[in-house]
Amino acid sequence: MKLQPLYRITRISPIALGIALCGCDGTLSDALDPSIDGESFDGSTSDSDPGGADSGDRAGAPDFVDGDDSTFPEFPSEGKANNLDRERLFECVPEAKGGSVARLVRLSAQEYQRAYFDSNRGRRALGGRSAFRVTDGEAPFKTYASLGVIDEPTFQSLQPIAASYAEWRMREHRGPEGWQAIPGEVRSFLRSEMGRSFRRDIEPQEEVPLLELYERAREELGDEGAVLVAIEAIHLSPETLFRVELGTGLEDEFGRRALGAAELAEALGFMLSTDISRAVTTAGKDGSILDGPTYLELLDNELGELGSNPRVEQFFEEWLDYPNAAGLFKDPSHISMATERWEADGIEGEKDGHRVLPETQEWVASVFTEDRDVLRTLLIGRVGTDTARAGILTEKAWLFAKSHAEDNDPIKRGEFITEELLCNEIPELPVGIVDTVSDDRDQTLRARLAQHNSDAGCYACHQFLDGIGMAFEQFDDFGVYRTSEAGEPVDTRAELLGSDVDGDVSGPVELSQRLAESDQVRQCMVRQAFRFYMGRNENYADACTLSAMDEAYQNTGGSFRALIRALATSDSFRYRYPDAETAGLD
Amino acid sequence: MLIRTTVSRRALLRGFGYGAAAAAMGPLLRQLLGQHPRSAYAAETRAPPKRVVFMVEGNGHLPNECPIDLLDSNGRRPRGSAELLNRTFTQLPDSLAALEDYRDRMAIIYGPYHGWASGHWGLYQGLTCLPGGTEESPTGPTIDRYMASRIGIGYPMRHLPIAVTKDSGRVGVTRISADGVGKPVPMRASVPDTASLLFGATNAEEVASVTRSGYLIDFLKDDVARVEGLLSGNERIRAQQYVSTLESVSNRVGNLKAHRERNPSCGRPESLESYNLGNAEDRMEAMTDITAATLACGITPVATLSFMTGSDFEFGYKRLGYTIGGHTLGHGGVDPTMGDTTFLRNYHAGLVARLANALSQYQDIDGSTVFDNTVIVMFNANGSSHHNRGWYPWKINLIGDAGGSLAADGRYLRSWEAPNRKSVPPEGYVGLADIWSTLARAVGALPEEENHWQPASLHKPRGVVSELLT
Repeated sequence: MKLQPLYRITRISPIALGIALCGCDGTLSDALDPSIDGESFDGSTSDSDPGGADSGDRAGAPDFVDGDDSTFPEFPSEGKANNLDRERLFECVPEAKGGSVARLVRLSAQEYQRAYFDSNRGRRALGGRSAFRVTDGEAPFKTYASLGVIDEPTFQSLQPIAASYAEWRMREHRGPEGWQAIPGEVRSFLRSEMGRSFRRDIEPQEEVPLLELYERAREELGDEGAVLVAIEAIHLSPETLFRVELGTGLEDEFGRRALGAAELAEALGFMLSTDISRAVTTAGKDGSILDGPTYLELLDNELGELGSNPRVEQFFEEWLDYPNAAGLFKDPSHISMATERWEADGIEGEKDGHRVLPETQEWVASVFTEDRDVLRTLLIGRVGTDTARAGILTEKAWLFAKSHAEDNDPIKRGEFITEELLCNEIPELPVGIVDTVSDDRDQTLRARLAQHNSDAGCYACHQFLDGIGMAFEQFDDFGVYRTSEAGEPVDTRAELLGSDVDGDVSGPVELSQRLAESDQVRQCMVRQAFRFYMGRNENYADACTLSAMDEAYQNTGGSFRALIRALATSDSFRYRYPDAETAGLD
Repeated sequence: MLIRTTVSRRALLRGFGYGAAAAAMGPLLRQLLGQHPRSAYAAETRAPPKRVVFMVEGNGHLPNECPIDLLDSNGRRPRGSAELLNRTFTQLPDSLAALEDYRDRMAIIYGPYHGWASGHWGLYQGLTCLPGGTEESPTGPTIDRYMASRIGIGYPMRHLPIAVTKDSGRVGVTRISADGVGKPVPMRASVPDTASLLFGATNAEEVASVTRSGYLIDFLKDDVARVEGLLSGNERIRAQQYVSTLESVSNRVGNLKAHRERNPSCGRPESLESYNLGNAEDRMEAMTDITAATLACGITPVATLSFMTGSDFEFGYKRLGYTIGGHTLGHGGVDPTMGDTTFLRNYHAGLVARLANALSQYQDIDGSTVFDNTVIVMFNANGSSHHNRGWYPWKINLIGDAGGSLAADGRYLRSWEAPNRKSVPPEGYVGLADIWSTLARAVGALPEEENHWQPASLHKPRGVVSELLT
């Protein structure tokens, strides 16, 4: 299924345009050949007659409808917001009326798991069963609403959990004589289940379909069986599995509707935590959340100390990606070298990346706890370390996370700076490109990559990748400082490109310092925070929100709390358009 | 009842057949297939339908032993090149000893290049022939799903995806099969649930569960439609996605029910009652029996059995007395009391023999057996390594010739083998994708006018390997 892009992109940033034609040996054009387009190929497998023309010679027309284990129906990704023009994104013009399109936001696996597992009730009910699969998909953050689908793998995992939960609830209510259907009890029981599961008050008319289901099923399954079905239905309802953000509040002159009280409570609660506090729930139910001062008080209370706020920690971990140190695979023989080097550096502990992670986690947490000049501190404010290190980009955990199994990975490191810190876009590597970097360990990695980059087509992209990432050759792939490689003194020269602070740098510290001075990097952090907390890409209609976040951050001496407050009080957060056309995004 | 387990499991695992029961079962299968829509195709072509089963293992097994009689005096394997080495063998390695009865109906293909593969658990790469992939996001469709989309039309299910993981009750995503980019295929991991779905509920609890499920799906369709009506654009599509999931579930249940009503004697294997499903080995054997019955009943022509693969493989072979978990096993850990792991690999070969034996019981519509028209593809999802490095060779064992289409006659093919991970293959090399193309041709999933199943593979693949076809 071909779908219209969600956002109209009218201007493409210079860097995205400039490198749009990169690729080695002209293979990009091959990769873009529509005849080998992955989407159309996939489509043929999921259509009702996937054999296409070929199936025509199969006599015996199918008399079974498609009941195969279908998986993911096509769903559009949001595309790459890095392609948008930065200046326009931060230009608050009158026509930029922020607001999301009315949407479904599926509970994340984390939220779902918390609802069912992080209590004795849930654990007893489910007997340790796993929660549903996390569909990470292609999105910058796990909070993206577009990732939340109920595909067949998810449903097949959820249904047994719902059934198990229903049985547990029945056991709780079943007396020694078994389940007794007392007039009125079923109704109140199901109403209570709906309220708990939908996380809001239930209107009387909302009970009707469920009671009808109960009545229908009761004839065949009996009282107990019918109640079981009804409980399962509640727990598989879209209102359980999704937050439904329609905008049930008042409509304004631009066709936007404000989030209703219950919607706003959910949006705020899940924005700032993986669970909703009783205070927010109550304010959503009694409507007091719609009162400005009350809302701000709730906002501040929910944010609490940034150092203990799970979402703040999650944002920095997902954005800066240092926790990947714990997940990166290194060959066993190679990791033993790390152990030796780390121990020489005085670091004891686990045998893999777990060893270097806690130190970085603690330091990053201290930065956002302090909440002062957060970005600059992250980049160059690592106090008490040697002069070869500056901030997050010289942390062992980050360097380890941005390496590969047996070597440094300047490509991955440069890519991080280009895409995650500068918010520039690099095209995907064309399918079929063969990585021909020499494996000769007698040469430095720079020398080996130089052979690769002698191809102008390759270098068109690689200047934004290892062209920047070579600055980190000061460290090995365990993040340990070194002075030589392959018998040669390390060469950490690099060139920063695609930024407002372009130029040659002598090494990782200078590169970090340069990035800390960049407006583009600061605004990129604002964009990343917007994406994480809104669960979607930014667009030009969000310009006033983005500029307000940026201003709030700057006016408060670099407070991340101020940035979040600006977002949580913005139109982008509080309003919903009925459709993309009304929002001007179609 | 379709499968008679009159021979003990121990005997089956030694490679013994089912014996004379096959002839008696012939008319039943003819009856089943005669009522199946595919029978029209079969009648026109005067050929029975072809089936394919992928039996995938992972977990660090190193099934790279060469047939013994092909080793040189120093015990080394014959070298391959861009030109395929094409030999025949007479002595299976110990790791495949359980397949001795099928030695003359096998082909062993060693070394097909798959230089893109890497990762911890295969990540779909073995069956996609594409690079990359993540835990939840494959980079393309897999050959089993491709075949199912071509030859599975008209069956109640195009494909049967099965897994044995550490969690016996879960629907697993074992990173083996995919429908396309970001579309992993859920694998059925629960033996009772799978049997109930395919062959119908047999006890009051299962019947009640199925009935409840029917009410539930109907209700949810309306419930989701209600929410869908409140949305527009892409958000509406997301709600529709839930609806299509429910419809897919509902359709599958309906298809299988209709199939059972037409074929009332097509029941679940009796052997299922005898297993202790707490053991992984019992689950593997039960799933093998289910697969045999599913193919013989005409429920599907394509199955994938993913045994101890993916990220849920951290469990041992307790019944066989091998308690070391899969991950340790994959990293070369051995139980000092158990010696080497050849017997574990031979256990998996025994499962293949078990399936082949079972399929050999059933006479097909032309007088041949179901096994005669089947090919079982046995391979390691990670190539020949637990952690595939890309340059390590892959090995595929084919058991059966898919109706005489494949040169599975004790054939040993060896292709060019990459000396290191940066090696670029020579012109004309045989890659893993080429082997899958050849299998697709053999079972009728790849038309004569096409030479390659995976058009996204840009490594100048050779396409169908004629040496492997008759």
